[in-house]
Amino acid sequence: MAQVEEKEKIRKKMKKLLMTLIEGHAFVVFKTRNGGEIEDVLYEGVDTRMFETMWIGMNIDELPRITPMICGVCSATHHVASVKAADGARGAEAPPEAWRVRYLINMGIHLNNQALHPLVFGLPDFLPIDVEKRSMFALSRHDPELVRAGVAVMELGHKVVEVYGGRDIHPINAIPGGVARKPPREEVEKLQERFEKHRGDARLFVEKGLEMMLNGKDKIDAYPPGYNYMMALAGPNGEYDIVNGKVRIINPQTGSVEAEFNDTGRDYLRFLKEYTVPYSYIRMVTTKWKAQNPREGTIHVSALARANVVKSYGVEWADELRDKLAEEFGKPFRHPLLATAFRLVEVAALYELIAEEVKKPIGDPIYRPPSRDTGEGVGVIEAPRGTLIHHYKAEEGKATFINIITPTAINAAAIEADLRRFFVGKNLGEMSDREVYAHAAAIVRSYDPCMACATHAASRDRIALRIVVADEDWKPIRMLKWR
Amino acid sequence: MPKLPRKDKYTLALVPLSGCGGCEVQALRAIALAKDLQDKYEIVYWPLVVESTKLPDHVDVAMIEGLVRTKENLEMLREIRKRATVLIALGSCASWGGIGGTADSFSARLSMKAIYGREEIPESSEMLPRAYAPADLVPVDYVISRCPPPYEHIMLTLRAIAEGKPVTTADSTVCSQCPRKMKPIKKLEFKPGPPGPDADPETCFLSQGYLCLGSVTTLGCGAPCPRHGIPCFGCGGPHHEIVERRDMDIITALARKIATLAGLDPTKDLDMVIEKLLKVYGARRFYVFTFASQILRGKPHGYAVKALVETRRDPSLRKKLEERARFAAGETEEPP
Amino acid sequence: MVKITIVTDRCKQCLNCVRVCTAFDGVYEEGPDGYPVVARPEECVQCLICHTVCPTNAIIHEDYRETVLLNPDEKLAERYRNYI
Repeated sequence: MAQVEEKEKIRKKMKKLLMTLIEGHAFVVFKTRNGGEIEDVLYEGVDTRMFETMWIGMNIDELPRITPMICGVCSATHHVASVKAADGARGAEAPPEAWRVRYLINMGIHLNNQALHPLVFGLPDFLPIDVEKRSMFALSRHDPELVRAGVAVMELGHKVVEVYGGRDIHPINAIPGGVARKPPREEVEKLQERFEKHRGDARLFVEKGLEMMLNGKDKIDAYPPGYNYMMALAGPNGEYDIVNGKVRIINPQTGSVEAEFNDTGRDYLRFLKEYTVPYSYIRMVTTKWKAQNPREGTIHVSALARANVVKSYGVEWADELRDKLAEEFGKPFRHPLLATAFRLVEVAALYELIAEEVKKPIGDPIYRPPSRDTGEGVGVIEAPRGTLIHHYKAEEGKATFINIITPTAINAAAIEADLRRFFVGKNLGEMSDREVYAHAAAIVRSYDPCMACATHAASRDRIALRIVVADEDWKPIRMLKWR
Repeated sequence: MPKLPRKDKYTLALVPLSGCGGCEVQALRAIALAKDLQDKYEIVYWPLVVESTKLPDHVDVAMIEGLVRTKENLEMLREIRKRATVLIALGSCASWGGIGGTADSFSARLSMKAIYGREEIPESSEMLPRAYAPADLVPVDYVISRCPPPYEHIMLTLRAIAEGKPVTTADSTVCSQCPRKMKPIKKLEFKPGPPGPDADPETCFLSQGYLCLGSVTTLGCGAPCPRHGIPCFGCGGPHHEIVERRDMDIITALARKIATLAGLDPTKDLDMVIEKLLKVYGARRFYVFTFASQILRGKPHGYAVKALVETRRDPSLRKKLEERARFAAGETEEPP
Repeated sequence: MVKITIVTDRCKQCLNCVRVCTAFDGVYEEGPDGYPVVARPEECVQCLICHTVCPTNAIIHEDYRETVLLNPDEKLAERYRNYI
């Protein structure tokens, strides 16, 4: 009898939260001690679509049109990473004009996503906590001009991808060795006009968005960083370059560079380590030198990491905005919620860079035939959410090995670390559900996690919040429904 | 078609299953760009857009995106069918299994092992042994195929449903919108892989000996891929005649067209053309977006099951996956 | 008589229909503008093979032969139930 009582005492509780306003499905799992004190926080991805095995044995040249379907939100960036890796595997060297088209595809999707995240996921968080159904439409009631301008910028980003990539979602234009077609002149001219026309919208969107974020400064300060490293790709001398360059891992406390590696070749394997956890379909990533204790090697990748690594955006206004934020929050930038602000800064930079770039016509040649059909290639580029790695091997033109590390897979461990830093030690019983939810959501959303990507890849019935009573080994004993 | 009672405002839910979110983005664009839809519909459940985590007991119009991969997907799908008056399958995944269906090339356990280094993720949702197209599992009222569907298409559909009118459709294939000229095939030969920009930009891919699925894929995209010098991939899903007729299949229908273009008899020489196609491309290549569809697997003259058996039994591919499993489990540092 | 229309908006001018027609003289002919024309609709035996080889579903047959499978009606079937 005494033994049973003993057992009763060490029973623990687990609480699961479905995350909304992110791309895909994810749960935040809270593990609590007997008194309700939070002991551990986990981040769970719930499905996978097996992109890393499905194309094995098929033509490698077709991979750049298969991998965009990993994610409908940042498909174009997968397209470019994929074609970069396939270039390596096929021994192709794309001519500079083809690279310009590829840059524009990636820049277009960056512009779209960096506008989409603040609009749909990021800024609604800065609405008061008690507003039920915080969403883009609630934001639209709060500030219709901001949403209108944001939607215009978003559409413009999609349009760039459509003109240079062939389709707005899941583009097709880039092929190993170059690109398939130059965009028609009329389309490019229309695009130039639209960029001139919406310049005011972009300005308004960035200014209003940043203003809204700075008004919520205490909210940004409320969530301290919990991750250990930051990683981003930039040009060899720290230029703002989202396709080619060098990857740097930096220390977020001091800003010093801890490691540096190439964006092609197997280099990434020497610095990054993937591992499987029993509770999530995301393959977590840690730094190689902390492989023994992966929770100490968590890496943050996003616009925030780029803001620390990049020396200059190449657009004066964007640099000014960054300096202003530096005065406010200090350098290096660390607070996870600041990432949303830097998405807005990147909108300011990308808008000008693309407007400049579309003015120059694409020349010849745009294609150089690949030289081999057996080989290996890696493509590391910057996706809107951070560093994206594609790694392919081909034998006689058929894919035999595919490895994809997405930014959200890298971020998953960092999200967990941040959640832990905020929640561990707090008592779940003392917070209202709405509060717990809002805090967890604010941290998770600030990373703009793209779960479709992370799991290469909903909710259960109507129980989005649930508590599991578990024994000391965290084996569930029974489940309590929670409304 | 189910009739909705006349109301000023209908409730709308979008339930994502295992998908990429592309259809969600298109639906979001459709609603963000059309003011009248914002007035006609109230979004009650859509994890991407609203914070509410509770699926209401009843919704007027529901859309599903993605395919069924886990047990929770299946439960969610059944739940939304029970609660929704009108259910729309959005995108190729929800209609035919889509790109995620291609993962069926290998058994789920082997794939899991190759990716994660272990056969299951015990503390997360349970993986089903194969991929399912949601439209095969529950009756759906509308199918908006294509990967992703154009947002104007979603706009039109939602508008027509709200107004109680039938949704207008067209009946043709991607070829009808492709600017390339179809010419007779001089010599029946197939070239593997996609063409580079050196292929003739004016002539049909089939006439040049490349594989293009445009003539068997339902229309609606405006043929952007062939315009860019890249053959059609079949992301729109098969044309409705292929779906409805028992004697038709993607490969059979395509081979008939190719045979006639080459001046052969579409009935007598059909097997010869199919054999050539299968030899060069492998059966799997024709079902990239329809591999999980029960409709195509059930075709008596179809090759979907053959494609499944072929890849799963191929010892060299199995070996590649097992090597990858060792890499994923961390047993070797070097990728295979 | 069956009415055959070719939707020129969709037609790719591949002339698969001209090549494939199994009727004695061939129903279709290449027209002066490159589009196939229905030259001899009376020849059509309604095998509809042209539908399966058309890449764009541009051929439409109207009022074509419909075959009805005649089962005996309920009463008749009932009478035959205890026939032997």
